[in-house]
Amino acid sequence: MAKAEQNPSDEQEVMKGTSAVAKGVMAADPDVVSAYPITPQTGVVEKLSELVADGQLDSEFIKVDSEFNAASTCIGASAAGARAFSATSSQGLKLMSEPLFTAAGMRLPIVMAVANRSLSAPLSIWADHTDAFAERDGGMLQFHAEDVQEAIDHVLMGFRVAEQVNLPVLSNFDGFILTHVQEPADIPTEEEVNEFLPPRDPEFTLDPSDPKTMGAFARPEHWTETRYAIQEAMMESKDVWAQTVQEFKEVFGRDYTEYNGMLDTYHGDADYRLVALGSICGTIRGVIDEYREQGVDVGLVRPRVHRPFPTEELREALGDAEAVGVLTKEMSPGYESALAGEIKGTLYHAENQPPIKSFVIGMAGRDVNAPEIGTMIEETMEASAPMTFEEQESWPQLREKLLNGGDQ
Amino acid sequence: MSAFSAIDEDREIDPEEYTPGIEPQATWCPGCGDFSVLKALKQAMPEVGRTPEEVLTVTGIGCSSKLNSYFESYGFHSIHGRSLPIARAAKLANPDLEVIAAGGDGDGYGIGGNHFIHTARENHDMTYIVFNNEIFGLTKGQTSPTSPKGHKSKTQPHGSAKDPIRPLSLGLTAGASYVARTAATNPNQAAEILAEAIEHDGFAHVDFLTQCPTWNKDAKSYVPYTDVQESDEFDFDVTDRKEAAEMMYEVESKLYEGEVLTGRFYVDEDRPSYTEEKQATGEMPEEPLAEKYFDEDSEWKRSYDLLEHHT
Repeated sequence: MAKAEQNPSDEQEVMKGTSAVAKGVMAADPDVVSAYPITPQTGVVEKLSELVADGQLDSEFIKVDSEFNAASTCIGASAAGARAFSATSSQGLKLMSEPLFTAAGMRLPIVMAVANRSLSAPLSIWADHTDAFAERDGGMLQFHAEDVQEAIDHVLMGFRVAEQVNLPVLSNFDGFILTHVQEPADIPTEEEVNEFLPPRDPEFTLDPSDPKTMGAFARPEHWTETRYAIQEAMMESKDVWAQTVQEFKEVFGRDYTEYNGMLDTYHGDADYRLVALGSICGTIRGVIDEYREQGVDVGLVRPRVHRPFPTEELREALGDAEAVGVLTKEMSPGYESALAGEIKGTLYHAENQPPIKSFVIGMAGRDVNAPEIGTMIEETMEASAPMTFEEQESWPQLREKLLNGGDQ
Repeated sequence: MSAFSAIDEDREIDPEEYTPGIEPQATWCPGCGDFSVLKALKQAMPEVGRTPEEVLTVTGIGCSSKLNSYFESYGFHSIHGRSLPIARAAKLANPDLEVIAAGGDGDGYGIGGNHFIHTARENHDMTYIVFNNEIFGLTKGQTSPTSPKGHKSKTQPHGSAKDPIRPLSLGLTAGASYVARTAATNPNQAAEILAEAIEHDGFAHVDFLTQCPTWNKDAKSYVPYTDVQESDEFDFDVTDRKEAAEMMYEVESKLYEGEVLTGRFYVDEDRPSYTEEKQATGEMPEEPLAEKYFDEDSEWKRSYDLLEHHT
C-alpha cells in the first residue's frame, strides 16, 4: 500500500494534495462546508468554495470569523440533519476543540480534514502531530494518511463511519508534506461514491415534528452515561470501519482491509518493527528496503486509525517482534510521547511485551532523513528490557548547541 | 523613576533606535502598506519620548502581526486574535509600560472581535493599531471582516454577501476614548495620529488603512485621501459623541464609495482609564504590581507583612 505508481494511470489525476482532498469531499456531496483560513489547510476549503461557486458542488459554503464559529456552524448544520464538512490545522483545531467535544457529546457526525501542523509557541506552520494528539480524548475518530490518495479516501470513508456511529471524524494528513505535494491520485467519481456512501440518514436531529434539546444540562446521575455512550460508539466503530474498508475495496478497488483497516504493514512479520503515523512512513519504507538488502529483518507497522485505538490489532502485529521502535511526531511533556505510551499500555496485558524504544522526531517540519531512520533502527535492535524511564525515549534530532545557549 | 523601569529617561530619542539588529528589514511584500505603519510608529516614539525599553508591542497573527519582529521593543507575538487580553494584562501588571497592541482586520475585528469590544469598554490605557487592508493577507487573500460587500476572493468567488464591519463605529460604541483612522499613503498624518494615540490616557483605537498590493489588487490604494481636520467640508466636534458617531458612519460608508476620509473622529480626555477606576476604589496600588519582583526592599516588606499577619 501507499507506494505511488511510477507513472500515473489514465484514470489518475495529478494535483495538489489540498485540491485532491477537496475533490474527494465534493464527491461526498456535503450540504454545508464551513471553515476559516489557516496554513496549510486553506487550499482545501478554497478549492471547495471554487467548486461551489462554479456550480459543480451544490453545497452551502459558510465563511465565518473564526474556527470556533466554523466548528459551531458544522454542529448546527449536522444537528439539522445536514452532511457537514470542515478543514483546519494546528491553532485552528485548538480553537475548535471546545465545540468539537460537544459535537461528540451530542452525537453529531462532522467530517474534518486536518492538515497537521505544530502548535504554538513558538509559532510554526510546519507539520507534526501535536495538534491531532491534543484532541485525542474528545470523542472524535482519528485517521492518519500516508499519501494523498489515502487523504482523499479516509475523508470519504470518514463520512460513512461518522454518519453510522454518530461521532465527528478528524482525518489527518501532514501539512505541506501532503497538502502541498502533487501526486497522482484517483479522484472518486460521484457514481462510485453514490454506490459507497448513502445519503445521510440522521439519527439525532432538530426535527420540528419531534422536538428535543441538545446539549442540555446533565446532572451527575446522567452525565456519565451520556459520555459512556461515546465510548460504546467508539468501540462499535471498529466493526463499522472494518465493514467500511471492505466495501470501499469492492467499489473502488483500493485495499485498506489489512488488520480490519486499522493498521497497514510493510514486512510486518520482521524481527524488528518500526511504528509511525502518516507521511514519514514513505521514507521509512525506503530505509527498510536498504536494511533488508543488508540482511537486517526490519519492517513497519503503521496505524491508519488512532481513535478508536487498534488494541487487538497492535497486540497481534507487535506481540512477537524482537523489539519495537516508535517514531513519533508528538510529545506529552511530563511523560513520554502519547503514541509510545499508548502502545505500551495496549501490550501490557497481552501475551508478549517486546521491548520498545521511542523517538520524538520530525517536530514542526524538521526533516527526518534516511540515515537518521537507520540509526533509530539500529537503536531499536539493541533494545532490551528492563529499561529505565530515561532509556525508553530519546529525541535523536535535538541540537544540543541550541539548548546550551548557542544561537545557531 | 521606579527601581526597574526606565520611564522618563531624559534624552533625545532617534527613530532608528526602534530598528532591530536581528531583523532590520521587514519581509512584507514590496508596496505593502504595513511598511508605513512601522515607519510612522518609529517616528511617533521620539515624539512621545519613549525608549524601546519602555515599550511593549503585542501582536496577533497575520502579516501585520509580524510588526514586533521588525520593531525594536519588548515584543509578544500571541495567537490569532488574542493580542488585546495579553496587552491589557501586561499593562495592569506594569502601568509604566507603554503598551501597543497591533494586528490585522481579521485578527482584531473578526476572530478577536470580542476582545476588541471589551478592552475598549474597559478603557485600558493603551494603543490598538489595526492594520486594515480589507483582506486576509497571510493566508493569501480571502475575504475579511472589512472586505466590502460584493468583494470577490477565492473563498467568495461570487462576491461577499456581507456588509463589512464598521470599525470606527464599533470602537466608539464599545467605549474607546480615542478613535482615529489614518492611511499608509499619508505618513505624516499617520505619525501624528499614532503619537496622539500613544499619549492619550485611555484606550486609543487607530484604524490604519494599509493597501495589500499582492492579494487585494482590486482594492483602493487609499489615494487621494482627505484629512477631515484639514478640510473645510467637514465640521464636527471630536469630543461630541453624537457628532462623532454620525461622522464615523459617513466616513465608513464613503470608504466603500471610493472616498478615503481620515483623521481623528472621537477624543474623550475625561474618561478615567480602567487603572484609574480601580485605583479610585482602592483595588489597585499606585505602584506597579510587577515592581516587587525587581525591588530588593520588597522581600523585606513581604517578610514583615507575614510576621504581622502571624503574630
